[in-house]
Amino acid sequence: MAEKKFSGAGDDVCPYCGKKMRRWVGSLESAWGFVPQFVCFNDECAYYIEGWEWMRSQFKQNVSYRYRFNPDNGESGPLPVWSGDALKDGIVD
Amino acid sequence: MAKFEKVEVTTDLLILGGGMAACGAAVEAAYWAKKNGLKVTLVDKAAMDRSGAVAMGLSAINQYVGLHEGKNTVKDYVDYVRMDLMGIIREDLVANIARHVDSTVHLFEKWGLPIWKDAEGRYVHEGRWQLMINGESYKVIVAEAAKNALQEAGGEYFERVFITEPILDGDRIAGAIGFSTRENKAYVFRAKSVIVAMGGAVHVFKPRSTGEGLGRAWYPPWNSGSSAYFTLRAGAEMTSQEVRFIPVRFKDAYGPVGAWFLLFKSAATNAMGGNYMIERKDELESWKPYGLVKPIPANLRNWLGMLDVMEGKGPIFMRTAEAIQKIAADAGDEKAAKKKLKELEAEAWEDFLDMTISQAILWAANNVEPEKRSSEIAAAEPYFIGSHSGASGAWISGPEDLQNGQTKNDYFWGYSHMSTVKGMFCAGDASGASSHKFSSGSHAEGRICGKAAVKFVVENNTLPSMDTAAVDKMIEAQFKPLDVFAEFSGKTTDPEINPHYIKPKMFMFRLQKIMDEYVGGVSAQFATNKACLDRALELLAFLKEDSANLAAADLHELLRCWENVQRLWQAEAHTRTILFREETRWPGYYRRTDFPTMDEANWHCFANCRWIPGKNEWEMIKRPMLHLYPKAQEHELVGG
Repeated sequence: MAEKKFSGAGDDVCPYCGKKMRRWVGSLESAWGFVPQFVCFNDECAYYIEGWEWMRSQFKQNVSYRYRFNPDNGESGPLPVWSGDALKDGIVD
Repeated sequence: MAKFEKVEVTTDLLILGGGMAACGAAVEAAYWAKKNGLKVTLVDKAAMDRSGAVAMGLSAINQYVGLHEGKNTVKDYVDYVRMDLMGIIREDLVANIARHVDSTVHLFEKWGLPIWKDAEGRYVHEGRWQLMINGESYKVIVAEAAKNALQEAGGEYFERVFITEPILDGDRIAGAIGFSTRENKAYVFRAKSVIVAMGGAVHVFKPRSTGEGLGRAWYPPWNSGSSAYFTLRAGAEMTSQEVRFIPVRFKDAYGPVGAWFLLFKSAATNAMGGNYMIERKDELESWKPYGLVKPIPANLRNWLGMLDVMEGKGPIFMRTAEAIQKIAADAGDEKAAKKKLKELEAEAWEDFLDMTISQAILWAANNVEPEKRSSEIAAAEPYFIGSHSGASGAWISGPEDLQNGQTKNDYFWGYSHMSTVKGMFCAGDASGASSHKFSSGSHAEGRICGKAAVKFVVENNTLPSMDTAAVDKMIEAQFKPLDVFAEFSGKTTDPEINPHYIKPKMFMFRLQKIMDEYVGGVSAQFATNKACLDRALELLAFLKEDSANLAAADLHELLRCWENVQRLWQAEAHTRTILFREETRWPGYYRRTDFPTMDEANWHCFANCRWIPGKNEWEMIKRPMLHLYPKAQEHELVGG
């Protein structure tokens, strides 16, 4: 299949930290599908850093999230991570 | 016959079950019943707060489509389910649940279930359809809402009442009989419509955990095939009875492995360290187009691991230690690594404690330290769970508005989610060919049934007639195991061993042995063939004869007797349908060694069955697999 064309300018930039996001594919067991998504793996991103405290205070969970953008349909959302290294082995670029 | 008070309850709508689907049915039916001056009655064999498959809690809601947020479309979900089930699903049913499930999730949140959100209020998705929750009290919250809704609408609920047989008035359901598991009471429920939501079945096959481990299972051991038995005995057409589910879990206590794969990045390998998902990738070509999708269908993931085990490369290990140590090492210096290790250890245990406590207990008992050594995982024994990745259940009508010119004749007959028995609706594990409902979709399907069943009552507002003499006979048969025990238990010194009767536990062991050895259980490496299936049917017939000699020392054993009779009927429907479908379509669930490949030309269809009441005969039926949406195109095959 021809992957849906990534629109380019801006779409691969994290709206929280302005850094370039990475192309990422979920594991074989996940239901994310084959289409690479963009995930901000910048460890200095405020969205990710503040997520730890937010999840601890609101849900009593030792977890944070990273910003994810799906270029296939334009939707985005928080992707949970249990450690700084989590999901990084799914980076494909 | 022992003395039992006969309690007769007359209602408009009777809901059977107390799990997610039944609670959904109660909430919705109560709303519409109140508007129409009708009464809703729910009957649960346990206590609603902790009954059903969600009893212990869950870490995630597995079906949330996100329609309003534009995350996915209904078709996206239908495509996903169709591929996972190797092409055989009722698209109308899956679509109907998918378009309603989000509102159910929003209700859960309104009722107090903590669903993880980021600081801007967006749900945290573990996967495309999965929301993370703090779900230790998930079922309690959902049950409370159902009970409140029933009470506010003037309805009622009975707990600790076990349902045995349906009451019929010709081709229409007329109610159900049952007994209290705590008091000497027989119940006769008369109703204008009935919703069946009594779960799937476990312990039909010999479990891996036997002897002192008996009772440990992936699926709750109290789900004994009540839905299948009730719908079969009512004469309903059943579908996909061959489509069992086999989860791969931590061996012997069935702890979830998903978090280890997804969160800790732990890999599953064979004893030699080989990763079957990589080494056996080419095997997926044999099962295309379904083998080429992502996520890889659950049964094919199982299949790749099974191939390793069959080649003597087992056990399969989840490499927990390497995964944890790697994460800890990446934390930085020694102090940071130690701190991280401690956190991970806590999370690892929490992964079990919030939904599979037995796994934590087993690991603790065996001194397992996941950060130091790997643990075995294994394909579990088969389960009947149409709400998950199985598909067994009743053949039900889809909604009218989703049908097209091709599907309407075959998939629609008057009321959404009504079985082929007039007035009898099915939800959750009770309805077939609509997999991947999970907890939220089962609740949504219950709501769909609740609304449709009230509509049925409004449009058919007469109480079906009941043959009192016939019902009294059914009640007598219901209590027969108590009479058998009372009459013969004194004939031997040990009441467990007696030439005049069989106790339910031994009955269950014999059923499990038949199914395990001849119908593709764990011992047979999930393989079977015509000769095995014929032999199984012969042995099941003997067992059915012996069910007339079941004995119960008390009400609890009486419940056990009936649970195992129900399992027997589920087993027979399963065996007959595997025999009927002459192909192998879900190799990681079972293989027909005499038909080892998929046969799209002849079997891209539903294999249905029906027990004909009065005749005591089985009818096998092929039903067409018709599409609401275009067949999967290339982009869907690779896009999931």
